[in-house]
Amino acid sequence: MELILEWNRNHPHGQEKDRRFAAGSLLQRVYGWLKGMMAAALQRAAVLPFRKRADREAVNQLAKKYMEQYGNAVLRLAYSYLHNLQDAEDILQETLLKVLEARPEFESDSHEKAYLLKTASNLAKNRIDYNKRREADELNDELVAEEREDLTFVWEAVKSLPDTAREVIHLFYQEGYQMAEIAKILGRKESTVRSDLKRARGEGTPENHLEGGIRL
Amino acid sequence: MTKYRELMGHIEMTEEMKERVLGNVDAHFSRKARAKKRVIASAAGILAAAAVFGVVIFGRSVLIHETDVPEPEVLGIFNEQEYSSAKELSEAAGFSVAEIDHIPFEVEQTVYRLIGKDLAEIEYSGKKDMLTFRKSAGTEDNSGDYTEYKEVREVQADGKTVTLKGENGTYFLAVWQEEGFSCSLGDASGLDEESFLEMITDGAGTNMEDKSESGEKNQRCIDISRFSHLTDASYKVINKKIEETTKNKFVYSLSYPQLADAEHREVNEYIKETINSELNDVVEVDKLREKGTSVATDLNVDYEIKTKSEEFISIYFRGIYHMKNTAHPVNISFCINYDLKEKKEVCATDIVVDRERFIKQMPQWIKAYSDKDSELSSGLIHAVESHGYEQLGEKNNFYIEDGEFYIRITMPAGAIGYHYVKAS
Repeated sequence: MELILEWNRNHPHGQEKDRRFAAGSLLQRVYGWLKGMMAAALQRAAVLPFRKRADREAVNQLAKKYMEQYGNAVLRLAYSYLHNLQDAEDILQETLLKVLEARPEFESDSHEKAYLLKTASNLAKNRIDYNKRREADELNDELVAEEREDLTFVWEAVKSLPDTAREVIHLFYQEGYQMAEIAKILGRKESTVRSDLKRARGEGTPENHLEGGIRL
Repeated sequence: MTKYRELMGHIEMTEEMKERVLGNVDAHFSRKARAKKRVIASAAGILAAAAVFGVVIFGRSVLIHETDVPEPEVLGIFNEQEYSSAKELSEAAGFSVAEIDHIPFEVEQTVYRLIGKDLAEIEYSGKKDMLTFRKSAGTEDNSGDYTEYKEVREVQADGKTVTLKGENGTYFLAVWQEEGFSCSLGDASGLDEESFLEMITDGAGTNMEDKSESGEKNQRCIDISRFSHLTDASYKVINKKIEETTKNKFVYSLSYPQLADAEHREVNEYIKETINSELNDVVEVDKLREKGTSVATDLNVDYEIKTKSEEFISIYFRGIYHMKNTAHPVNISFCINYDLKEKKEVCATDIVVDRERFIKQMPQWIKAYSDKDSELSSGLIHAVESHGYEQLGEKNNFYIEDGEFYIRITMPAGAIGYHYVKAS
């Protein structure tokens, strides 16, 4: 400002130019001030949906926590749908991103876990819809290498089930959920969840057996 | 350990996988933060420029992308217990659970189940289909069916509003309220409206003794069918208000309705008579209004019309009055129910057709009304039990709203006074 005034004083049309430059500088100042205000307001608006300030460190800490507590559960559920590790890992990553972006409030650890599994289940089903399953089945290869024929039978029997029955089997036997909880996680009717489980077991087979007498 | 768990134990995250996934998550949010900064800076510039030129823009929706993730839901732990009959299930649940009649397929197996402490379920399965009936206290949808159906419609059946869900005329779920309970009927293969309604109107959810002991179907302790299909009122209601302050500063304020047409002279007279009688019963208004009376301080009574139709009007009055030298104000509550066609009052005894069963069912309605307030619930049940529900014979103790019957229960404690419990 001092420099401008100095320049104006030395200019041939000093008085007139002085007024013009003073007006220009006022506009510049108002623009700068408003820009700062708007930036702050937009920053608040963009950050607020994340509830807590989603700074990088906090997100990373939460991601680590989810990985430690639920990583294997999510990976296994995804594998039960997709039958290969690469896709299952992708689902694990996508699940974390979805949940970290949404940052919902959880009432308990069980609620948190169910939410992650529900998200993973939806993502895995979408993946099946859009891509054909890959040929690789690392679990099968490992079981063959270990000569665990009993487990190979179980895995082949489970794989042969329809997707809707397999997801019920997984949540029931692996995660220990009951029918009502499975229905909520999968967004399905409790009665059909129950009938899927029944059908997978087959009539007359004991509770922890699949159709054909294969023990789960 | 089950074989399945042993099998799944082979699927485990490796350290490399963990690092990879966490690294990608970090990179994703880092990219997002940078992109957001850029958007904010440029948007702020545009907005600031716009503001300078006199343009004001509100809203933030352009910058926020809603992610497609499920809403958080609360999941509980449910224990299931199976029973051998509807009778056993009813005993365990603490309320009556009736078998379903007219099931449209051959039933091969029936399972009676109590889920948690208070959700009763009967599951009928056959070769081609499976039907699940559920009943629980309260009003929440207990179906456990979270499918978003394309077609959702409400139909009237036997005085109940039934919500049918499905698509293209095939329904998989029916939910309805009955006598303080929430009921649902789900069919795995889907049924038409008629099949659902046949099962529902044939007594699904009603008291088991209704069918097994009396043998008469659809027998209920109250009959409100006459209030289910009312015609819109053609008359206007005029609000009248009396306000006066006596010499001893007793403030008397009373609002009451009057029907506009001359043909409603009888009901208008009846309203005024009833108000006089009810108020004199509780506060002896005339005496208190006399000059020199120093007992009362004020009285305030207002009203709400609960049903207004060509055939019937139901009005609910509530108010309060203060007495000098008393700690609490006293509640006033009464109702006026009038049959405009027959030109006569309607009493609770005109609606309650089986007094004994009505009293028996009262605790269930109270529980539904009290929701989770156990203190209120036990207080109201005690009030009913200790008086043997003699109040039922009283006049002006109920109103009808949206075709439902609300009966007054008087708590002995004056300050909290009156509760209207839905009994249909």
